[in-house]
Amino acid sequence: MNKFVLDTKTPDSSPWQTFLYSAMLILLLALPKLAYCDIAIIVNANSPVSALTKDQVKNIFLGRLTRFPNTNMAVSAMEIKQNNAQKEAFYMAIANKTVNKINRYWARYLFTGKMSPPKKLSSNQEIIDSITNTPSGISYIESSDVPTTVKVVLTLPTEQQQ
Amino acid sequence: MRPCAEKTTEMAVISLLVVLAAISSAPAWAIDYSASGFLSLSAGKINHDDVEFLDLNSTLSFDNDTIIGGQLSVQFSDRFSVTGQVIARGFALDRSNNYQPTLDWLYLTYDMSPELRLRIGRLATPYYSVSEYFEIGAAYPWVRPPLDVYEPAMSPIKNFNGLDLVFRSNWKDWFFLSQFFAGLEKNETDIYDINIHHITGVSFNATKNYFSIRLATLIASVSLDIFDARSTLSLLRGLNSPSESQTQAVSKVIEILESNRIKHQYSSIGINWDNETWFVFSEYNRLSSGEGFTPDGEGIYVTLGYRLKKWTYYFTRGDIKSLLGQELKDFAVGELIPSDEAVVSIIGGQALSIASNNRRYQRTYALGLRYDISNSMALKFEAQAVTPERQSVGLITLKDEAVYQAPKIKVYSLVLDWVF
Repeated sequence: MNKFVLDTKTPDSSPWQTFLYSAMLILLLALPKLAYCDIAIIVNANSPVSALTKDQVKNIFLGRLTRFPNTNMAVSAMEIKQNNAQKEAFYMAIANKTVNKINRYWARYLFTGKMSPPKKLSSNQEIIDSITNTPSGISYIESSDVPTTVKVVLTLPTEQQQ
Repeated sequence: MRPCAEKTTEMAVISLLVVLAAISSAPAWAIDYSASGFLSLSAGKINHDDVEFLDLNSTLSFDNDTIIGGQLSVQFSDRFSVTGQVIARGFALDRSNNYQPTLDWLYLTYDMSPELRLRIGRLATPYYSVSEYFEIGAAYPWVRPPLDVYEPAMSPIKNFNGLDLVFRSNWKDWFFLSQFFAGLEKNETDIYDINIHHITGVSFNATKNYFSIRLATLIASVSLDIFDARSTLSLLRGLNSPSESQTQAVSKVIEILESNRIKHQYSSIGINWDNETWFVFSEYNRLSSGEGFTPDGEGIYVTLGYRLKKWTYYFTRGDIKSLLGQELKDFAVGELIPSDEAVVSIIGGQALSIASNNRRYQRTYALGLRYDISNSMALKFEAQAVTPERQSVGLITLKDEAVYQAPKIKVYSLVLDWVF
């Protein structure tokens, strides 16, 4: 029996009950975070694209796919500038890569000018505004933030916690 | 050898800060611009008193891999942009002063379609896998790309004026990046002047999941003026030849030493496999040149690496063979020296000694460690064991010119890489 359980023990509760309550509390605290962390891949509401696979999204954000599949439309990928948890979760989910590795990948193309990395924007609101106004735009935000003005083409459940 | 090693980093840092300040205070006319930069701070030494390796000797020095660079890109429309990159290097073969900022890139980009990009202006020569981002230390695991392939003489022109086309395509799970380019360039270094009358080439990169392969070939028409050959040349030109056969021999040696418009072909293959935990990077290159006092050579390296969280551990094994003036040597050994005429065999002896001083065989083993301090900053350490082979000096510079064979050395390098 560990010390934590002994210390919190009251005359009415067994160690098992305490353990169970603690576990439930932890789950309750953790669940909303997990739920909010789903990531939605969004495009312009009028985009001809209605669904994309994980691999297609990966290739778009690594500069390897220049047009949306089965269309003639060029891809304008954009993402948030800061290296935040949303970005970490996205790249972990699509490419199993940390943002560190993604930055290293792009450093060589950025400085050699052969390909351009996704356009950097400073907030999720700016991303939403830009996607709303760019027919060829594609980006990702937390699914709880998705407004009706854009279209979701893929939702990525992620297990990354903030 | 290099006259300007006394320069401090101050000048470079100040001038780049001025450039960066100018960039960040750019007025509103800049339609959409992005500024970025990179910095590598290095320290290194070797374990031997009598020789030098790159810019390293037995006392700790801070110049060898130190680099600072800034890049500004201005986007005028969806399709047009202009990019410029200024780099100051702590150690360069170019005769320009160390830490002297040089304009490495300045080009206009036109996206002809989502797949096809045209660039015109000053570009970096894509000899081998890492050539174009050699200065961006954060983008690769090593302290510096393995010399076995990235030795300066095997890629003598870092930048050229011309144009290129970059084409992106897909087939099933494969991604292809192809590049065609053409241009010209002149360059002056401490050991030779080189004039590239024209250079054209193609590189092809194919990637599938963890695997990628790169094939490239470049053809250049080159005139070389190697300072080593100058005294022999003037001696030969001033000779009063007593016989017909000697006149012919002398003019043949002069022709070889002058090296005018000689075709050089650089070819390489690089194979990488990287599953983010384990990686293997390997590359083989070959330079073959036409007749003349020109370099021929080949190099290969294989790096095996392992990443664990923020740490990367790697091991590299490399070999290089670099010969300068093989034709001269063959001519000297085959025709000049066997002849009985005293003067001719003296010329032969001189030609042979120039060629022999410039044959380099070397084997390298390296162990390295990289620690990622943050997403944009990494600290690296590398220990190399460098062994010159076949009684040559390898890539080691001897301080005592009477000695022809270099010792085995150990090289220790520490670099902090930062991209901002």
